[in-house]
Amino acid sequence: MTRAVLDLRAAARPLAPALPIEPADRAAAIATWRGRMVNEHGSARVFTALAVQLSDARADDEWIVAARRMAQEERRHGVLCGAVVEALGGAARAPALREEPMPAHADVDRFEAVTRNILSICCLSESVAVALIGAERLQMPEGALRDVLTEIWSDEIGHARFGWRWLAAHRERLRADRLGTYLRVAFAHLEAHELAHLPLGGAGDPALGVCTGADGRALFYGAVEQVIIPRLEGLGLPAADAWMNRGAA
Amino acid sequence: MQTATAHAQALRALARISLTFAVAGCIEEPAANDAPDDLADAAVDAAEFDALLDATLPPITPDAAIFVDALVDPDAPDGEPAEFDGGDDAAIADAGAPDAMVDCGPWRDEPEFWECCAAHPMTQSCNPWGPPMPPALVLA
Repeated sequence: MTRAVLDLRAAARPLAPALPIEPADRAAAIATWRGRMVNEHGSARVFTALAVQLSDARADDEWIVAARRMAQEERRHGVLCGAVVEALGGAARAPALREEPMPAHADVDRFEAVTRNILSICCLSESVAVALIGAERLQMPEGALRDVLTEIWSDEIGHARFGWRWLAAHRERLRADRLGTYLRVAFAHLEAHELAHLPLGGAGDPALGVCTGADGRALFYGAVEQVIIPRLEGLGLPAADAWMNRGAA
Repeated sequence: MQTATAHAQALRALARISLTFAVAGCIEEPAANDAPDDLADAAVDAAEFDALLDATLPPITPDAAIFVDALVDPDAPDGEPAEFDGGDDAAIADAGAPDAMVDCGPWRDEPEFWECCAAHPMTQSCNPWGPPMPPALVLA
């Protein structure tokens, strides 16, 4: 099977920020930011596919335009993360994420299908990202690298809010029982993804945005249990039960 | 900043930006807070949001008294992406070889990366950013 390569060197090099300190573990810092580069750039496809699904669901144009804009922002985040890789002495080049299709959810109508995906993307994944990036930003000294993180965090806030606003705007159309069933699967998927990308071990380097897996995991669970679940419950969705029974559809 | 303090502030920020007036039982004006202005809007509405946070969420650990306004950052960009020509899908090229994850040739000048790539599908080092594709629902 042929694997695509993501090469952002030309776009990233002019944006390389000044670093606040010399990294204690340069290889770990490069690997972290290179991983972010790949993840961020690759997630543009998620929002591009979401825009198509919103169109299929006959969503108002403002939602579709916003989803397209979010795809563009994720591409820019990829370049910004690549710029940090270059600043660290690495190359903003890596194997790209494998292409995956967006679930069509053919068993339900188009509104419920896109709502499932918005739940997973915005209310879960991007909301967790807001917490993780926000904490990293707060632990980073003022400077060019923190400015990079601030730009990314600002956009991620918009991506998360997209989901929360979607749920609020369509609250009367939400089928709580059925979305609760989907949430069980979505929570399990989220947890697996986050834990896989927050491996235990490593010292971390907060000044360079390199977190420790243990701290990241603690914040992940805090975000889910202290904010996301109460918010979803507030919108009438059985999120606490779904979290407790995650994985079981 | 201590990790616990940073976590508490980050959760507080998430609580604020995930708050919709619908959660609080009110009607939200649509289209008032599109993504580019989210950070600024959240800051402007901070006092109002704070009151609603306390009414709609349990206290966020470890200690509410240590919270400061994590979102009021007058120097923060408003989220509007800058003019941007690079990094589009054209940057993704075919590696031209079967299973490029195993063929490490193009990156031989970075052995530490490829040692990791040889062991893992993707280097994983605290980088859970970027939402993955959502899961499908497969009923048992």
